[in-house]
Amino acid sequence: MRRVVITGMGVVAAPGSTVEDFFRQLLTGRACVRRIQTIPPELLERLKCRIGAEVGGYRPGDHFSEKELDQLDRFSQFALVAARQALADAGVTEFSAEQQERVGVCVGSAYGGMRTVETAYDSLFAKNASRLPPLMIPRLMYNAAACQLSMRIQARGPCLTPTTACSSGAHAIGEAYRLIQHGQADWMLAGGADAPLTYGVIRAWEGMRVLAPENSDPVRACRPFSRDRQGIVIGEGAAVLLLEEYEGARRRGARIHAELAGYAANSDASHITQPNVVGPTRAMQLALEDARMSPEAIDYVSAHGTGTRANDVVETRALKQVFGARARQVPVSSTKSMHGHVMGASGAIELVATVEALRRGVIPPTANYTEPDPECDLDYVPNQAREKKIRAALSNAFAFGGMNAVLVVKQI
Amino acid sequence: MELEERVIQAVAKVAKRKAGEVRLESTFDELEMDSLDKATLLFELEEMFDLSIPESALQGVQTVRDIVERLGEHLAASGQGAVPSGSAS
Repeated sequence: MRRVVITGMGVVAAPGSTVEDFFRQLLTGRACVRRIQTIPPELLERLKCRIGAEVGGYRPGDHFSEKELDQLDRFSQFALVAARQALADAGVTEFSAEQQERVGVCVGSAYGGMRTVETAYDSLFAKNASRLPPLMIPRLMYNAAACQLSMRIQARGPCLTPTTACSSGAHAIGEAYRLIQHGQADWMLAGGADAPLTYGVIRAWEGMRVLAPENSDPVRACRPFSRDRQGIVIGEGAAVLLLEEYEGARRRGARIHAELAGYAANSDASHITQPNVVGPTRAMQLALEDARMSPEAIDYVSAHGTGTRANDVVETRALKQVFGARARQVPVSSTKSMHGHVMGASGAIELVATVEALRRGVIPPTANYTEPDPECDLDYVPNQAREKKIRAALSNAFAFGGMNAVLVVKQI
Repeated sequence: MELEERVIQAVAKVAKRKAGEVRLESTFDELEMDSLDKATLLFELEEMFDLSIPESALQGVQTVRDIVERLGEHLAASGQGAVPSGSAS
């Protein structure tokens, strides 16, 4: 089986829109959550939850022409910006005609062009418009980010869009890894993108009663694994990584950030929203088996860590099953505390954080941790970044519907 | 506003050009407008004139002047008297 390495990374998220800015901000332990500015004030007032991990200072015109923007919903824009960074980071300016056949794209999304949908439906249902713009479909489709990227770099290999709710980005990276392993591509641009900070999406999440309600203190709102945690803060953004076949990467003298050493996907097959322990446990074990590694080789776990009552307890139990007596010695952190839950982009954004932790030997903390929960009793790296040599790490993503994805990265 | 001017305005909006760059003789090819842009142009014209234009209205159309003529015929047929006479030449 061919080996797969990560040679380029790009990210657009609330803590930063370059890998450097993003990771430096994560190390401060301060969340980037604020009162939402991209929802019109009169609509925002009607929401119970008015906060989100919004990408600050983002101006579409800095990255795209007016004509391009007609076709690009915000989620696609984020994906393209992140992908450009990943290619630049990997030192790839363009692929030759021959290479183009061997380059693929796999960008997941949970919400696709939801902002486009809402704007159009508002005019259709509320304002009684008699027609909708022709570009609505190309903008809203879930595969828009992936195909727009493929067109821009002439990637003629596999082009896919996993949409597995909050695991979309992790599944996208995992499936891309498999395609390279099995020889169907030599390069894959893989990741996730979502822009779900819209009136309708937040309203829908309010109905589930899992959003953290702290409008008055946005920065402290998301407190994964802490006893007083109250739920999710929604974020927006994208991350795209360039995965590359190892021997080819070596031949071209690429700088290798890490090896993508293992992946597993499985299903709880139990409940539409309630997580169970067996599924995530098995997913982590299968990913380790795939990487031919024992749990002892893992020095850090990037948790799914949403900050809901249910997830954090279940994930803790699953980690104990996987790591046994060593569970309390393995640092586990949730960077969602700082970049929010970026839905279909989370798995990809968190993998960028995990790879940076591995490269730099420093673990980003779980922010806003105030007090231990008897049911969450692991080492969550509370509030302060921690220097530690990391040989290998796990990155967890668990979605509604019980769709789990776990990635393993290691030093090379 | 003359029909010609309004069509030029719509074409300029869709093609992301300044109105001055769009002439009656400009072709879709020169303006780099593809099938998706043409669909968007129909949408813009429908919005502008508040009428329904069938896809067939763009068949064989090459230039901005062609659109003005087709639209003029269409407006006349739909009984919209607001069209300045002679605008469909």
